[in-house]
Amino acid sequence: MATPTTKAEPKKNRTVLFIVLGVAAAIIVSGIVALLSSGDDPALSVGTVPASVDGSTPAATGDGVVRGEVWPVTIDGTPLPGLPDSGADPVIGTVAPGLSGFTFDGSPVVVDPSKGPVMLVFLAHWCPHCNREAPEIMQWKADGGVPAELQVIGVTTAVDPTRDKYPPSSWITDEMQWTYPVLADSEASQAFTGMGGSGFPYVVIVGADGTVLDRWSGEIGRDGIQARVDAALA
Amino acid sequence: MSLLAAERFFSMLALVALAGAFGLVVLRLVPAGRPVLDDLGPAARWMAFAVAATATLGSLYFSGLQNLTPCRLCWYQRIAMYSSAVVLFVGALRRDRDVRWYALPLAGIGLVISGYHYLIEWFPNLETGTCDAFAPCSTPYFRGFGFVSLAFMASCGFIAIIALLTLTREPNSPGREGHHGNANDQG
Repeated sequence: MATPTTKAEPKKNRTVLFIVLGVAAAIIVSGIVALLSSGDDPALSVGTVPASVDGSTPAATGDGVVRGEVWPVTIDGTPLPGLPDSGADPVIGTVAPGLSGFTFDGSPVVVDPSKGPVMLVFLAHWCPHCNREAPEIMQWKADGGVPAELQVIGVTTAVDPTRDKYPPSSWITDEMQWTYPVLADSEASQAFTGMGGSGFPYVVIVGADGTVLDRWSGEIGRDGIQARVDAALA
Repeated sequence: MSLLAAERFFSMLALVALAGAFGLVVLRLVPAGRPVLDDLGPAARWMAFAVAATATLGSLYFSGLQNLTPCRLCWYQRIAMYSSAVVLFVGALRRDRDVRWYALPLAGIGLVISGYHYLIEWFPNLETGTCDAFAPCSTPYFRGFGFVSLAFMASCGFIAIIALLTLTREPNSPGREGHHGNANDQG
């Protein structure tokens, strides 16, 4: 009875050893291939404007401006609280803060609520819903649905160089075919959080009197946007 | 290690695990593969533990060192995978063939969640119309080789664990070590 066991054991051990060595070899090869085939992670491009440049006028590269995907943002006023998941939005009718910042090439972009109505559209380059909603907005514009008095400003936010469709400057211009002015949010997404955003896409409509008329988060399509805008400006 | 290198390394490991699981299925279907499955039986618990432990360490690496915040569904998969690692370790240490009854439900639940997670990464509108600003479930941090996301990696890990625990065979009893009976039917 002992003979079969003696013969089977070395064979069994060889099989297990062979598989363990195979797995170990696969791990080592994977590690080597991963290290050799990948470089450093892409770095976040931060724009800067030298103090000598007057922020109220368009800057030029020759002035020492460093083009970037994120830029400092200043919030003028009280930041809005977060958008509630359901129920009435308590900020409707309250004064919206202003935003001062830059677009990708360093040109200043100022959102002055007192010069409304304005619609701020916060977009993240990696967000699939933003990738569907931004073209909807451009189609809405092409169809002539945007009220003449309404300013539309895009805000590229939550910028992450390791995620899809970075950099946002080429994404929003080339891929989304966005033709409205764009404010590049800061690395910490201050404009987005300052306006109470928690998800993308995020839209805030500010009235001519500087108060918040409506805001929402998520993809609602061209018809949905038209309905919300018409109701807000009515 | 850069995120890109880690992404490729763990993507390849996940594909190796998936290929291993596929190999076990083939061995099960081919008569000539049965003896190999018999030989693998006692080692399968340790191998399943190695898969769960690697997935656990990989998950902690991505969140702790690469600062990729886990989303809601990632947390559910973590619960299943981390628990599997502990259960399989104890089971392997005690040579407890009944460990499959504890590990398989965890791996099965994890596979269902990771499968759903992978689905909504490709079809985000199945779940919601919004990307959460901090850790959206529908947006993968990366897709290694164009398709291997963290949810895909988790699926591969769970599939490998399930394959190792269900397709390999063990001797019926210690007293019959040389006789390769089908222990799967006996728990």
